Amino acid sequence: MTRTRFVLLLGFALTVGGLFFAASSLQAAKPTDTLNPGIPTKPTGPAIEQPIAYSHELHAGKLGMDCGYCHTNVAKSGIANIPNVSTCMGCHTYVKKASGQKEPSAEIAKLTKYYEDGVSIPWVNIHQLPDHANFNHKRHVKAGVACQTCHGPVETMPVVYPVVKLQMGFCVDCHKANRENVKAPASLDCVVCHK
Amino acid sequence: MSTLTYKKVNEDFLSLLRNPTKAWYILFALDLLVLAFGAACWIYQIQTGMGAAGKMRPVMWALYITDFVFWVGIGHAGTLISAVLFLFRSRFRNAIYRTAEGMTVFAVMTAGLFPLIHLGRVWFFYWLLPYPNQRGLWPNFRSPLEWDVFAVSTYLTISSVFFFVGLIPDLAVARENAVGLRKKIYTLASLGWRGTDRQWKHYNSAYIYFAALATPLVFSVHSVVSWDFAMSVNPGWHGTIFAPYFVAGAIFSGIGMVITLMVPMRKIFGLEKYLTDWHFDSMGKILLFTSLIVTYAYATEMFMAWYSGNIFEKSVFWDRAFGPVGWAYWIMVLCNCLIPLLCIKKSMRTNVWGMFIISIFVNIGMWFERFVIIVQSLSHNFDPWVWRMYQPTLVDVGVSIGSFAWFGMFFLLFIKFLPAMAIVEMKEILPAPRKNASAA
Amino acid sequence: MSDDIHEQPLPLKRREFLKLVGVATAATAGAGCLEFPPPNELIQPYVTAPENIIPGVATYYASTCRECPAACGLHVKTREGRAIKLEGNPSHPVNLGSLCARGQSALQGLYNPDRHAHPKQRQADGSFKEITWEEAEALLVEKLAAPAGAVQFWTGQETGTRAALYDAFIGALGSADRIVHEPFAWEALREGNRLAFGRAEIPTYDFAAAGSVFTLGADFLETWLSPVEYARTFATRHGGSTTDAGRLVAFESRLSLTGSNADEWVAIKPGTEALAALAMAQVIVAEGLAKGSTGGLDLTPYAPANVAEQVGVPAEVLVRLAREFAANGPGLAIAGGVQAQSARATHAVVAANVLTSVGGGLGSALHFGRTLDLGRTHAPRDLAPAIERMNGGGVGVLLVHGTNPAYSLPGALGFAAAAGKVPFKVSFSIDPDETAQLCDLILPDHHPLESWGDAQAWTGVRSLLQPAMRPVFKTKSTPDVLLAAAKTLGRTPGLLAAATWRDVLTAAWGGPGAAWDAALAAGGSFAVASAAPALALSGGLAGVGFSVAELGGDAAGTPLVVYASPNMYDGRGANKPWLQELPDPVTKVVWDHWVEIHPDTMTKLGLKRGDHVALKTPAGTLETAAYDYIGIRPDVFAVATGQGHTADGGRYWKRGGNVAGFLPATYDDASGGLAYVAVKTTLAKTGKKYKLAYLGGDPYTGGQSRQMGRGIAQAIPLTVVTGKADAHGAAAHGEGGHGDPAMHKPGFVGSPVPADPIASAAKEAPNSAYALHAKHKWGMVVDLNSCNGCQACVIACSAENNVAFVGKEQVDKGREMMWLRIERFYEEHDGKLEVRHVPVMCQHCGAAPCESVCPVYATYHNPEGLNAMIYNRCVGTRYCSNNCPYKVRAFNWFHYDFPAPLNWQLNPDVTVRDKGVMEKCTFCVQRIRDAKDHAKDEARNVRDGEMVTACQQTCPAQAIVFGDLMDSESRVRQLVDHDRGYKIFEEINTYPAVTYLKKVTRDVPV
Repeated sequence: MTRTRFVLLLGFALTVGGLFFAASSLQAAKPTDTLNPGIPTKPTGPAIEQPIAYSHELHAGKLGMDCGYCHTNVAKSGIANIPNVSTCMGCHTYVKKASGQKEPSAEIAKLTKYYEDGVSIPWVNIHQLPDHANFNHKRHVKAGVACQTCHGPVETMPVVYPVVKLQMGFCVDCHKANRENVKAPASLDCVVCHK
Repeated sequence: MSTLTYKKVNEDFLSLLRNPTKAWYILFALDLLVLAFGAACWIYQIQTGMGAAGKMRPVMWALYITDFVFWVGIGHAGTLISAVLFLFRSRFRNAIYRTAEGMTVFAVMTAGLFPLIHLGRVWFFYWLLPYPNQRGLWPNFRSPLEWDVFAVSTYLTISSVFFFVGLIPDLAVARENAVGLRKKIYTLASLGWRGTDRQWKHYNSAYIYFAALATPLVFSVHSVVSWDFAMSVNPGWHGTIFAPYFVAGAIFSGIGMVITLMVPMRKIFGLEKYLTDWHFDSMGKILLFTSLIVTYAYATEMFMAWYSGNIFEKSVFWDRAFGPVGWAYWIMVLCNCLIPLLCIKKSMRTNVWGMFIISIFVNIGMWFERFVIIVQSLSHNFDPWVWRMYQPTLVDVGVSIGSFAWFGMFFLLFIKFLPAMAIVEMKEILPAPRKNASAA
Repeated sequence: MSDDIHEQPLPLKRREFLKLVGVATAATAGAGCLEFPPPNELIQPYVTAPENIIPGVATYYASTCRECPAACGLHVKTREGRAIKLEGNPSHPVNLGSLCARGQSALQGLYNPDRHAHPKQRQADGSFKEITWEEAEALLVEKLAAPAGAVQFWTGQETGTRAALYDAFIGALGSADRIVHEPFAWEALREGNRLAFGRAEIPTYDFAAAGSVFTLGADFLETWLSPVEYARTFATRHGGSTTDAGRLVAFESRLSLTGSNADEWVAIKPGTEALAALAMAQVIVAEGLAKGSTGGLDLTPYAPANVAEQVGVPAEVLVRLAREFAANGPGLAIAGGVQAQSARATHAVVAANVLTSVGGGLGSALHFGRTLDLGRTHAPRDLAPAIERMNGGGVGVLLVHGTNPAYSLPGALGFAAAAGKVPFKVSFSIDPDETAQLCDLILPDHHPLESWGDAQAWTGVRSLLQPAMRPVFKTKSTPDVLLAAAKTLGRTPGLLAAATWRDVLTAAWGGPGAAWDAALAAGGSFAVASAAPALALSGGLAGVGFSVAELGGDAAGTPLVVYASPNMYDGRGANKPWLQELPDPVTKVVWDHWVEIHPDTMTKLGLKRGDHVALKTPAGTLETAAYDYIGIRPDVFAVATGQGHTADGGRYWKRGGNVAGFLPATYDDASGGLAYVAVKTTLAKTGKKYKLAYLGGDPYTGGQSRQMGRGIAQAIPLTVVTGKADAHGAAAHGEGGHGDPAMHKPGFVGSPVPADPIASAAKEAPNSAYALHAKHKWGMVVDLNSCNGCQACVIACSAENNVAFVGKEQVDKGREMMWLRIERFYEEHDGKLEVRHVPVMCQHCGAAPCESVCPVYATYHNPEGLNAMIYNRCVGTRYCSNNCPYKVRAFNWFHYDFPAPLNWQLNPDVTVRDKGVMEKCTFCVQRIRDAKDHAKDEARNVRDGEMVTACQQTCPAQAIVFGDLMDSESRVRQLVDHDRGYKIFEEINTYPAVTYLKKVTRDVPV
């Protein structure tokens, strides 16, 4: 008898305690900037070699170029664009050598060839969204979501790798967190994202 | 029965478990053949799309859901006989309940397939189950289909557990008399049953609990199934009478199926001693009773359609009787309302082959009842512009026939490898052996 | 799947230049999240981006529709360099932003998988082999340099600079032999106006100004002259909330779509239009009601009493109608449609003009303030000599562009045989049509959407064609081919001196510069003459001898009426799956050809719908299927043009019989136009097994669809609207007429239309999600009084939302995918047939039965009142469709193909649904998304009228209004409480977001 009662009490105590901890941990999890809760860094996919060994680390990192300088449409269109070859040539008509090198860079030569042949560069898509999802870059950029929030610290990547699984859960979590966001209220209506 | 002794009972039933005869093998092979055809049809449908079946707008449900309701219905008699009649201590059940119970489990297994078969994208069936996922999505608990998911799975679980528990003592008996691999299996399955008083004490109380647990299912499961229709706005579906009407129908069709299975078994295995007129008489009474309820339901539907003055209802029920598929309706009335009336005469109830024929009609009639409710109601909906009648295709039919083969497969295996009759409970209704009995 | 149309091999791959950013094609619901991450795809940027193209943002180009001579203005919507949708050009005076079904389907002409993909040369064995353009042009020049006879150049109707270029070219070759053949060239109309007014032109027909419109076989809502324009102007006077007694009476032996919109249908005998018109004119004159002259015509011989017999209509009917015509002026009588084009067609036009004159319509409803330019065409009768020249061997080289005489001319004229005698034949056709099959060299032209060009609509209205995208196939603009040829031949007088076709065009438009750029942006130059100068009949009509058209063929036979198919037109629509699957607006038959026979006659002949029959005339036999149609005189058969192509190239078009081909070569006496109503035929069963596929095919009313008293398409008499009679008297109108009779029965509780749909519904049905609406509550109003059932909206919807076409077999099974259908119901009261058209799409119910039953929330109610559908979540239980009272949900029974390059048309903003998924109208949610996106950019709310659904955008009659019900100022909000407003099946309490406005039936007492 007494033993069973003890067991019951113990069980009850443990449950209550558990619940308390759970609740408190939830409390702690609240980020300060709900739009940019932090930059994920853990790779979720392979770093894929591109036809041209273009380094974001160099351009966006060392040279500190703004993302929008090449990805010109991120704030103009729902679809962020891969820069036109002509955009690259804007600089690389003149810049032919990697810094500190004597020899002209082979990679830049590749680029120039593509340009002169008028052939598009077959970049490999790293951040792929299912086709039925309607993700509007413009809206998110204008709302103040940092590129890194979804693309990770690209400016530190010599070869780009994905840092988030672009699955529904990832989108929904952020939209939930920003449902009440005064600056940019996020919608949880399915048709907003589902084509 | 006084000629029977415990020993004889053991022998008789264990004889069923001896190595299968040629006839059994042939039957089994044929069955697998039909099953294979059904499976092929389903695979073809998955590959090409639902269009392989004859469904269209407005008849988006047809044979598959008909079969689903039909098989769920079949199941009910088993539970009724094994659980409800057990609680009521009606002794005639002892001879038939094992078969009926087996039938229940297999019928529900068959029924459970159809909601999958009729899915447009069956590869996503698991979205119907409530499980935590990264999307943070739950199924829609307001949808009667979601209720089905729970109703059917619950039913399957309970009835199979109940079935197995009932088997334990008999498996022990079988164990004693089996050899080789069979012995190993039976040993394992009988969970170390030794028939001690303590075991019997626990066993009996457990059995009663399970019976009590299974009893409400007889009423709940088919009510839920009926709500798939009753909860919709469709004329011909949207009726408050549906739940009781379906439950009665389920038991009706179930008893029909029990008889259909029992009669041949009795003949083939020579169980005349065990399945007597008494059993068929009792089952005939249930058949008659439920048939009357169903008839009443049909009448009520028609009356309400007329009395409501609702043009949609009136139109759909007029069409049910006199429209393009009116013939189906009249087959249903003939098989479910008129023919069972023969059971009024005791001489008929005790005429085994007569009962067999009636039960066949009942099975047909109840299948057509579901067909009429589903297909005809949908074909004659609110907007006359889209009225159309549905034509089944080979795939529809193939899968439906296949489902009978699927059921048959399990049943054939069952009667060969499990005691199809409750040995122990047969003994219950025998006089306990006296010392000198062996001598006499 | 089983249907033939989806088993074609895909003829070609995407072209290099179209590999743009990795968004090119639209998505697939099925593939969605089967595997993750999906296999790596390439994202290829432009090398140098074309100006003003931003991937993901649509670019519009103004152009001109060439699907019929009306020359409506276009806005071609392009995404990533592909034309994905055609919309009307809002600033174009002809169509003001609307576009008909045929016009929108031009896209499927552009992307047609059967187009000539490259130049071809005929081999010795008769087959064609691909050759390069260099070889092709060299060959052309070689043959033209030394032709074995004169050069003959057949072209279609051209009203712009092309005509001049063609003339210049043929002239430079020392020939004047340019034949212009257009099947529907309205010769009778022009000749009739010449006789009546001394002007062989098409005047302005102002339906907005006409109090009464009497049409004598002129189907102005389908094919007659400029249907989009007429549908609009007609609706302004006859449709909407007008309380004006603007009336339409149709005098035709076979009820056309136009006739089905008439307030009264008078089934006259074919070929008697002239007499009917004159009889009524006589009454008006005799009773001193005339408001204009009769052109010196003595009408007494045409008194109703005298002609009633021939016309086949009781005299008193003609008298009554004449009085009404005079009473509700100004009156406009029109004639000269294909189905009235008999040997007396011109006389019918003259007679109609006389009727208009006495009805006071001249100068207002009919005037020459601006004329519709149809350019120069040769009447079929005048083609005989040209064909003779071919037969005589006088023609060395035959050039054919933009016309298909081998198909559209009567076989009796023997074009094909004559062409056989020409040593070298060149076709510039874009399609592998019958004429191209005869040729030795095929130099495919660009599709109009890939070409430069211009066209003359009205006087003062010139519209431009500009390429909306790079050519899909290896085609070359014919004018450029001709210019090049002229240069190599060294014959470059005048126009031919120019370097390119574009230069010629620019020059014709006053050279490059601001004006040219402005014209390009606007889609042309529009200086509309709005004046309506006074007009009177020229005298001397006495000379015209009016009589009934004699019909050839078996004297004992049945008169055959040939009418212009609203979908196939003269046959150019036949290879476009959209148009094949688009039901005929009145019979609702799809993918097929049929002969219309009155049900009584059917029973007399022992025929059932769909029986395969053969119609015999002296000129040939036409095999087709029988269709029982109550909208036709019992003593007449009717067949449509446009089907029965025989050329092997077209995968969709070999259906039924070619009507033009089997007609005898008889002509309208006065104008020489082809007489389509010319023969009596005898009909015999062929005994072949056959099946017609049609919508509204319920077995209960044999497809003669009735409403069964369910008030789906409701109507209300004008007298009630104007308060001249009480609503009760209105209820006299037969079944399903005015509201649901059942709702007045005891025990049947119908919910009233909520005065304020949001507030009251929120009160009555708190769960109906009305209460939840955050910012918008989208709603639609459809005015059945304006809707004429033309089905332009259906194509607009299919184009916008990537709706698949499924083919005849599947439609026959009841598996058509269209999100929007026009239900056509017949009403018969006091012996009169009334037709009602009602567009039915998803009603976006506030308390939607479909939502609660979906086990996975694939369909749900969104905060803006949309009944949203998430394709990728759908598992295909089809419960939603079962529970939908309107049955507007379409299920993907199979995977439906868009044979390349038809798939280039797909809208990247809308998922392409795969097998096993339910789909339905979304109120164009992608357009809503887009509108809100723009509004956000400008930090404002969506304006009323900014968000337009595809169906609304294109509706020529402006019958559809869409908007925000929570915006108290919005148009839709104003209309939702209209007196004529009702909801379909509102007694089920689904609170639809679509409100219908009752059709107004006019029965004006004299």
